Amino acid sequence: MMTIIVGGGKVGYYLAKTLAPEKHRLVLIEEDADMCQKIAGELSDLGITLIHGDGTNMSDLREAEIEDADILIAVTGHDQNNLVACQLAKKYFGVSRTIARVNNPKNINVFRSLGVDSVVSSTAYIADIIEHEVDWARINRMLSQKVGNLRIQEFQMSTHTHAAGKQVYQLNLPIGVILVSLIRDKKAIVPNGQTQVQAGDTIIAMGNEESIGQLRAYLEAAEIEA
Amino acid sequence: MYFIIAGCMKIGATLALQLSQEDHDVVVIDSDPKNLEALGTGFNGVTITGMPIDEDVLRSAGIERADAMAAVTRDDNINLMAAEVAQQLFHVPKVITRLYSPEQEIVFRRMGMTTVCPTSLAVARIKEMLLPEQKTVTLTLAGADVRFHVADANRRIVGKKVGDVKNTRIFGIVRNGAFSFAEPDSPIEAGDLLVIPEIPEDGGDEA
Repeated sequence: MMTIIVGGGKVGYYLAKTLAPEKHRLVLIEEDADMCQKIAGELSDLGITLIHGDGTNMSDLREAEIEDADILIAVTGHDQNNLVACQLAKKYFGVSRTIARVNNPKNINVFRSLGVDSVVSSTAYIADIIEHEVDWARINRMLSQKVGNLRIQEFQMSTHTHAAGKQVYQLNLPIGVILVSLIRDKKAIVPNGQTQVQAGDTIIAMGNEESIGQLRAYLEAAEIEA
Repeated sequence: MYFIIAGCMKIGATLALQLSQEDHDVVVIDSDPKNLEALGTGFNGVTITGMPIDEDVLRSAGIERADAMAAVTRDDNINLMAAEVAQQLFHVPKVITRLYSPEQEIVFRRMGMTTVCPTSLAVARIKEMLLPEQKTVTLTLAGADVRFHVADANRRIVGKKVGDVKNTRIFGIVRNGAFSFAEPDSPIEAGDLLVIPEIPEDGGDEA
């Protein structure tokens, strides 16, 4: 299989190095002469062909033997160059799979509509992670407040509890308490009666002051004496 | 009409000024406010500082209402992306892309884009001027190629009128460096150059 990477910045360089040990024929195209000089030695040791050129220029693409390529990955810092490289590869040279990095996450859908097979945005990934963090911050804030006479409370299940392994309906939850969510391995589960509670789970429960108190007492009682 | 011009370098600025002076609604986008300032007070359209490949910038330029867009920044790839976004995502009826690379122009024309390549235009013109024996020119009109060649008026037709010349369609006459359209009763004089249209053999642009 042959892969062309357009852009020898941090993303392209490490991508090339990561892909190299696999059974890939790799060609990297980088526009900047200084950058080429910096990475040339190491890439040639790994058997990666480096071309000093413009990945949106037809003759530079031909020099990279794009006619033989199965995949083109465009990861420069400029979205317009990544788009044009993918379009030339796909629509003119018949490369079957194109992958583009977008620097501006707003361009994800634009690239998809304009025919790029896979679109990757590190900004969007990071934003996504942060957004989840923000959600947590909001829940944590809720946890500390009462909404009407309701309270949302987080309980951490220790590794030593009789509750572990039981299904939710077997827990004999106090009346007036519902389990909103179980957090396991950083994923939120919406539980039903058959959901099994495991040691290490975080339980998010909602109820009035009194029933939440009863749940706390119940869970504390379930702790196995060490 | 409502025009969006992406890029305010020489072509963009000149185009914007002309269109606005002809009473069209013109919005000019450029990432550098200095380029926009160069339009001066003679320009009565709207200027927007921003990247023309940014959907939000295009929306603020009113792309949903635009009749046409010209992508004329100094960067071919920005022009292509801006034009594709305008054409395919916002369905702007007429979109023109300025490309410096003649090779790319061929590719993107084939993909259905309308392009202008100053490099090819200037090269063709300069070649015409450099090579006096070059007597054939090709013009692209509304996307179709029309070819003309120039021939000396030979002795057999000198003294006749254009309408009397059979088998050859004469489009115009160049006399002493001045062009005039050929009418059926135009006289043909010694030393005239005749402009004769040809149907291109390949049937025009392969699309």
